[in-house]
Amino acid sequence: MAQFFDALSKLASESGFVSFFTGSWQNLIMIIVACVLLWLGIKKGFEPLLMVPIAFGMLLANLPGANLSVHYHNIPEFIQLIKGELVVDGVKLEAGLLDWLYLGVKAGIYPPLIFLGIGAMTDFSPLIARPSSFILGAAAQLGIFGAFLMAMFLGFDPQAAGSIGIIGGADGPTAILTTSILKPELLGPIAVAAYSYMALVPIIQPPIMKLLTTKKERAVVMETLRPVSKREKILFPIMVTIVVSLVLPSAGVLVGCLMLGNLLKESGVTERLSKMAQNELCNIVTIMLGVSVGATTNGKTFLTADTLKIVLLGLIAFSVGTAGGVLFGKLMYVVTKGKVNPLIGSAGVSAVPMAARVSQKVGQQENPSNFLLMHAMGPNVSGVIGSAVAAGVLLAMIPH
Amino acid sequence: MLLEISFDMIRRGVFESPAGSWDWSNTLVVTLAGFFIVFLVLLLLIIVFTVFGKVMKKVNEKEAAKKPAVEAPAPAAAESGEVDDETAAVIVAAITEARGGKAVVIKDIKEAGK
Repeated sequence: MAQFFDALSKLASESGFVSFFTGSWQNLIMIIVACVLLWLGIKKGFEPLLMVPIAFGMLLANLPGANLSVHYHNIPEFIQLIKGELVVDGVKLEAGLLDWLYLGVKAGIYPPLIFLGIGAMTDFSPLIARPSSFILGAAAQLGIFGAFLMAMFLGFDPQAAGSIGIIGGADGPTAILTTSILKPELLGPIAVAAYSYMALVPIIQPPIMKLLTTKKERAVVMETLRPVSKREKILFPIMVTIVVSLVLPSAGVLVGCLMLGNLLKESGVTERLSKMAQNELCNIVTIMLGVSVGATTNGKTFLTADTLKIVLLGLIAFSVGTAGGVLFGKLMYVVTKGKVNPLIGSAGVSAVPMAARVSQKVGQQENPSNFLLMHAMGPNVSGVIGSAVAAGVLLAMIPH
Repeated sequence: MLLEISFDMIRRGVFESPAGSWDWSNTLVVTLAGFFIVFLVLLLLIIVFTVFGKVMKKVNEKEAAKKPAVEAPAPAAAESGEVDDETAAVIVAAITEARGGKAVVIKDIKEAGK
């Protein structure tokens, strides 16, 4: 009988439940956070395609004793890990499934592949028809550099500040790629903050848009865009790739993959490849990216004051980016003598197509017969290019 | 390429100063020059695609002038109430585009369906 109780006692002492009370309380909190994120993704529809895998990765990473978190931050550490030479807190670590999946993040493979899929899903016609929309995509990147400056004020190092700033680009894959290069230790909080705010675009943007515009400006009906020929649609991705990659080679990987995906779609001769990039490839990579990024959020490293600061700075980055886009929209309104509705500027923060839908919705509140969606898609897709360019700039300027 | 060279200058001259430290001048350079460079790159794209758009507009106009006009779409089908004029026009436009912009004459909606 005593042996029976000894066995039970041993089982209990080795279980994950006991770990929560013996130094792993942070993991318990993270499991609760993961469940909240799962609820937001499933029940509230907050960016579910990425929120659900990220939250589940978070859940896995915080199960004590399961050895399911990502154990390394750089390639040399990964090599040590697979050789069985990586020791943390006196414990020799073994490489698990998520360590292998995370290699795609660390090696910068997943974000460009997701961009390939996004490119295959995106119609750049509104941007081709009105190239001046590029300026709004640039203006909305103000949030990135504003948040970078504030992060430096709050005491983050330049690499961390650059990674935090990129949240303002409202572009998940770009944020993940930049952070995995500049400050991989912050990948978890930055990915969670970026995707959470992207989901909250319909809540964050409208008050800023209304605050910075007048009723008259919001009611502007824009002229119909000119039709774009198939030849223009085919030449656009080729030209953007050449121009951006020659000027800023560090942005070439993201912009190149985005434009390759778009060329597959627009060429009309690679329909199978285009469909594969839009569906199977994008979906598979999304699962691997989400779960492995979520698995970097171990409670012991995630639950810090810095995480709270990152969440706050992410909100500021989003808000400043939105304001930048709207203010330049106002400038275009003045320059064109009232032909441009400033509301389309807020769509420059990427977050395709949600930000464009917000412009449409706010515009229709002033004038129910106004259809801004296609006009806002120009700055919106320009924001995707703009955030990739901004990431290239940060990677080029910040030593890493 | 010029920008890349300027990045190198910034990195070597400012960020990797003899002291090897990061100060507020570096922060300001990244903030201001960074945003300026993003702006510059997208401004370059505006110029390129504005010129490109104008050239393409002329090319499209020239090509359109060479083609015979597209006949009024599927009058028989529209008259019979099978489809309205607007739908028939959309079908003709789609087929025209699918055939690489070559003008088509459609007399019957059944032919359009092919």
